[in-house]
Amino acid sequence: MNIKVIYHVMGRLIYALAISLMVPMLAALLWDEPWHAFAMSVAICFVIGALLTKAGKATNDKLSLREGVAITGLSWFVASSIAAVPYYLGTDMGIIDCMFEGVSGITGTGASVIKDLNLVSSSILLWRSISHWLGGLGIVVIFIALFPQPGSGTMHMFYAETTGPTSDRVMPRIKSTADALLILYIALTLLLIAILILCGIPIEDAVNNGMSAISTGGFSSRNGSIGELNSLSAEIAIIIFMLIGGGNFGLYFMVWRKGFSSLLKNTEFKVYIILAVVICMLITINLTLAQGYSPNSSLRMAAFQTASVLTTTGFTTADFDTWPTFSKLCILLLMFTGGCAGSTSGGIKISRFIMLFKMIYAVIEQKLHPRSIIHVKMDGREQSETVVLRVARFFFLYIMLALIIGTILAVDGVPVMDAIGIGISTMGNAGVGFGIASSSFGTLPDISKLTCCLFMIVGRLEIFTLLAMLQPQFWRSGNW
Amino acid sequence: MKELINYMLAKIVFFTTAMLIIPLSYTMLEEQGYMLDAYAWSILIGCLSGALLMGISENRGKEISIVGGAVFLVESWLAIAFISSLPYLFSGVLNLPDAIMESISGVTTTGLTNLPPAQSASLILWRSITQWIGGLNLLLMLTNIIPSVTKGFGINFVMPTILRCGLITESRINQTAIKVMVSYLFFTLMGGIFFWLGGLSPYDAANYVMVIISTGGCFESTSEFSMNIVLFFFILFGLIASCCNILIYLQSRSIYHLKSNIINTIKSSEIKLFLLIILIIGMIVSMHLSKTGLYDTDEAMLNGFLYTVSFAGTTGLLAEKMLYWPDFEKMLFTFLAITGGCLGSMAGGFKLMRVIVLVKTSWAELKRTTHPKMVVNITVDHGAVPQKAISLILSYFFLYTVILFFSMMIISLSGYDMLQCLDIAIGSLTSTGQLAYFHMTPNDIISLPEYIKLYCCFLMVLGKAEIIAFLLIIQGGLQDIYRVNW
Repeated sequence: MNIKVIYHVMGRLIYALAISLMVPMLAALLWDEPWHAFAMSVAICFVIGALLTKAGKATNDKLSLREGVAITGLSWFVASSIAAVPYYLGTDMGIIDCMFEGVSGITGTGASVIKDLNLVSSSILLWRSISHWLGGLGIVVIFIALFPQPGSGTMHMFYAETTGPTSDRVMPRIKSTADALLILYIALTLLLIAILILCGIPIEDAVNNGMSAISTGGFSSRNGSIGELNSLSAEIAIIIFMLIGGGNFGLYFMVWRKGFSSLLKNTEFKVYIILAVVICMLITINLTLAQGYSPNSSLRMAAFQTASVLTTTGFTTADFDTWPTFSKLCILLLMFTGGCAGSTSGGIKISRFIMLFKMIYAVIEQKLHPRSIIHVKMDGREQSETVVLRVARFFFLYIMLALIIGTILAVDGVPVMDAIGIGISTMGNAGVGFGIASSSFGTLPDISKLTCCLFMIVGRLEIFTLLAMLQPQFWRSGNW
Repeated sequence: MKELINYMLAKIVFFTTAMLIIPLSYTMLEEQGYMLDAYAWSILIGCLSGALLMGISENRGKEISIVGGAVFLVESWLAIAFISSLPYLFSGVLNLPDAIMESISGVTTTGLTNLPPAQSASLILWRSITQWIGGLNLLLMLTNIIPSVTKGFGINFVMPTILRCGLITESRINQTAIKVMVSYLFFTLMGGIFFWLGGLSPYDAANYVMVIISTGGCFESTSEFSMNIVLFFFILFGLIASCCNILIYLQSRSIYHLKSNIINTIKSSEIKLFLLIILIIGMIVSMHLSKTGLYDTDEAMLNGFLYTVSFAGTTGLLAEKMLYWPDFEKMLFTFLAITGGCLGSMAGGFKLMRVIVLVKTSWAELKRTTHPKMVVNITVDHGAVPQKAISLILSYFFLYTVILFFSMMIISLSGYDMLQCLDIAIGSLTSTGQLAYFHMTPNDIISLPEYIKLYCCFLMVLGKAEIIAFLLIIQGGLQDIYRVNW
């Protein structure tokens, strides 16, 4: 493995992050808030970036698969660490809390340890939302779009970050694909911010919540999350854009090029919408019957919470920890499923579930007709056995890792069911929890917070990329 | 084919009815015939049902198809459960849904009981006998039906060649049934004698051995007994029930062959892992129990290992103070119940062999991330695991998880919290019903809504039929409706 190339690319990535840190710094200057934390963060980034760039070496050769995977994996650790610096310098939070907030922001988890947002400056709130926005589409995708890499190895970096069972690209070139995704992302973000402003939401809240919603992050600018905005129109807009964020961005690009028929033909998107509607209805009925809410308020709460958790955003308009067990389990189910492949959301992804159900159907058909040859198909395309088995192995690892997190947290003193809920939420980057974590993750013990930090990144990179890096032979030199 | 299924069901019904003579004799000898009517009516109805089934089984064929096997697999549990429920109904102790739950829980060796406390000793004895019959039925299904119907859901590759495929025939079932019954009876008698010598009364010894060897686990003695030696035997026979690969032993042609089969299974990675897990978790639980002050060091050690073995083997004996045990221990026991015992044993759960394959195949997939063209091959005990087996095991894991989750959702409609729903769902699906008592009292179980009890019965049979049998019946049935040939 060519470590120098990795240094070089990481150095450039840190420069890019330094530039993004200038946005809240300028905002702080404009709003007459303390800006030194951001200035120091920018300076630290430039120094580290310069050191890495100097130690590294640019190459015109193709990046190897291992180098691509290593760059992507390390990028998320580096970006998360840098995201934590302004919190450390600009607030009185401890280092573990800062790290948690940084990782949660970049990975789009949205689990916060800050107990009272009113005590935090607006520029810090803006940085939280920016960290969501950067991580939402993927720091590597944005990096490839804005800072083209020499050589043809960016494909490996791109694929290592892609969410979903298969890696489809909407344009022939990776750079063009990244450009298209970024343009669409920016357009949707601006559109949502504009709509929120039209709904009467203050500009600062509109910008913060807009960025959080489209990136399916979940950091809000208010203690009571979106519920505190108390605006039905804003809730509806956010529901729609969260659902858009949880959809496949590549598919939207196809819609733009080929029309709405592409959307209607897509099995995953159809299942995604049907699931949202069915779960919303079930929760509405359950809340109405078991809690005595009026059907209208039940529907309002259920629709928002369904969209929020299905897309793994994590905004709230109600305290669902007090809901009946059935509704809580619906929420837990949505944390598992997550949104569509190629979206900004976390979770296992709808397309994987479709493949797994089709796999079961194939097993039964095979038993009934032993001589038949049955293939799993998605949207008319035959999926190879390798892809299907990889999906099933992903499912197993996902469940195991969620349980491992739960066990670690339980050993650390977190109540068992809360620990399992946090495990599922962490792996799916949902950012919401039950019991001890229902209002804030700040009450978790330190070891639990660090565990969550690690697994938020594992979940965001969909397990394989990061776990592959943990194998000792990954770092050994020599060609594979 | 239907005639042959009816014929075999008739035999099962007759056998279960014959077993009713034991509690009938007990009530006549020890309870002055207090429950005589209930057992007499049950025997009468059992005989009539058996005769009816036998009557519609003339001109039977010699073989059963795969879907027919799935139907028989499910119907056999239901047939035993039907006869088992009669004494509860005729005695007036339980109403119909409760009697169904009690009997299905017994025959599936789940051990989730809703019998009110202080019942007739003969009825308690009958409950233990239903668990023992359930264990025997499981062995018969394991050796005859399940390999052909489900292909062991991916674990066929470690089964003896003779069980891997082949038709389900009457002669094959008859041949195996005798071997299975002799082995099962031998271990039961041995256990009973050991427990009796250990200081238990004959009644307690009989009940305990039946619930331990069948992994049912539903019996609590009211009498005092010398703890240590009895607990040691509990552990020993619990291990035998959850470790012994009966499928392999039954293929032995001689004592020498049996010895070599036993040595081979002891050397298998599955048993090594099982014992290692018991050792580690047993130690952790013992130390933690000792630290919490619930028991002194010796008691903590014995209790720790006993209940670790008990839940790993999905027997699920309950400690007197278990409701007060820390949640951490309960979580470990829940994990143990899910992973289950060894292949070919009486234990329920997912089975360790499948877990081994899942872990190895996932590790291999991690390597494939950086070697996309690599062919993922794994071996267990120096034998390659076929790709088909990996695919089946992965499918089974997904199915298991999905069913578990949806069951929790259905059970949650009863108003219990998430942890209680999780306990009931896992307990029912893995045949470790005592998990339900981790966060609930016996009265909570008794007061579960009837539709939840019936759903739990469905889950118990589903767990025993390895899920796919049900899916085969549904899919096969649908295709039958649409006139597609099986």
